[in-house]
Amino acid sequence: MKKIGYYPGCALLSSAQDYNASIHAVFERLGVVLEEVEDWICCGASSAHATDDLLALALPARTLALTERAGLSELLAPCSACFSRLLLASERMKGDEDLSRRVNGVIHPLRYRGTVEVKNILDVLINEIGIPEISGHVVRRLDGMRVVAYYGCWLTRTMRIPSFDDREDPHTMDRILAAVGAEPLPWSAKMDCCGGSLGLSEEGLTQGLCRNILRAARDVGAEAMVTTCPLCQANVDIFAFKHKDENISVPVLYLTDLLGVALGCRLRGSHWRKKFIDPTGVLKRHALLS
Amino acid sequence: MGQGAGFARWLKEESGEDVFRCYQCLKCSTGCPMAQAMDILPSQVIRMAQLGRGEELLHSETIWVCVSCYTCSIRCPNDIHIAHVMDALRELALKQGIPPKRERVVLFHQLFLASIREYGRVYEAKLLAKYEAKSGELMKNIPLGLAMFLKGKIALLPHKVEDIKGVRETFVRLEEEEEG
Repeated sequence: MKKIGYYPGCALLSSAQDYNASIHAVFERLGVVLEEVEDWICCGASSAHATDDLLALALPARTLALTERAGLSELLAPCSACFSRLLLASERMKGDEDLSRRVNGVIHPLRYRGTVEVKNILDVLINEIGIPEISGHVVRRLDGMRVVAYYGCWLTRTMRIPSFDDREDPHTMDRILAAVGAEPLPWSAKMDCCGGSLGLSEEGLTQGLCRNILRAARDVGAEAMVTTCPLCQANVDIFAFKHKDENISVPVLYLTDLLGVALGCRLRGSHWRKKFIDPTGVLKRHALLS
Repeated sequence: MGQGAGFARWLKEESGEDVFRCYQCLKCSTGCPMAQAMDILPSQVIRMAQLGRGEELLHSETIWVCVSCYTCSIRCPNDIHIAHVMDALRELALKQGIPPKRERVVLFHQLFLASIREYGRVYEAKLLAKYEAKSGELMKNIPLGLAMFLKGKIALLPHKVEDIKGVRETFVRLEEEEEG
């Protein structure tokens, strides 16, 4: 059985508990063991990199050191922000001895030697598990469900580090959705930023971003938007909730929510109530909710 | 630091980014989702850094309006990580005590980092409550907060890590390192 290090990140313990639940259900079905890194800490997200570069390295480095100590060579971070922060810290330390010494001095007695490969969930699903394996587990196809795959900003924008998918026009999520029968639609906002890093503090500045994303989804006739980032999910879903009168709402689901349905995972009824824009209508329309 | 011929050199040392590679193709500014809210466009930030006009950059709206989406950095034909230049400018502005044009942004970052220092992980409930109280926006997000609470999307108790002592030591060592 394949085993991979797991970093849920803060959002998956609170606002995105449902994401954590569907990830666990899907990976169990696919026979992959997620070993949560003990005592992982917050990646620091934008608040660290926007104010203090050394802190933005030290916080992920602590978790990377703990991952290494647990004997794990791969670390799955489902949140795009966590993924980006962990990956950039790991790769910058690997490529720069002086910097590595400085960061390790700060996280002492922990020490990161640079042996961990940080992965996002699409990379693991497509390159380590594979489409044939996912298709092989399908018990309920999502035939005819028109969806848009929303990648968001940080998933492929891994500055100076090779990306698992095309940086400007990724397709891995579309391929996974098609493999379980859904109909992923081409659309213009798949890489647009939701404004997550300023979402709370400068809502007035970022709501235009969410509005454009929802409009783009509506314009191609999507029944649901699918994402792998808990910050994108929350930001777009909450915007849609606050602006219901604009008639541009579509449910925003996690990729693993839909995979869970397709693979016959037991997702409790309360699972779907975690979203602000109710996704049960779409699921019922396609006879996917019993 | 902040003005004159040495500014670009300082930026290179701090961020690793060489602004002199820029030839003003404007891809960064045309692709920037926040451009309409900026007082200085990303391409202008780079040009002004070349010219040593750091003071204006440190006092700009732009550095606090940038959402760090990395669109500019990915598209730069000269491999300048523009979003990381923004990080370096914000860090310097804070160190110099320059009042940020968007105070709430900085307040949020500070409370977010304080939460990590206290628990090792972000304790969203307390972070949101503190932010609401301190930002003077107490009433604005109450309906949303209530809805999130009712949906069970806010964990009521913090998830404190075991080695919180180690986490706090990291913060202390970091302050010592940055002062020294």
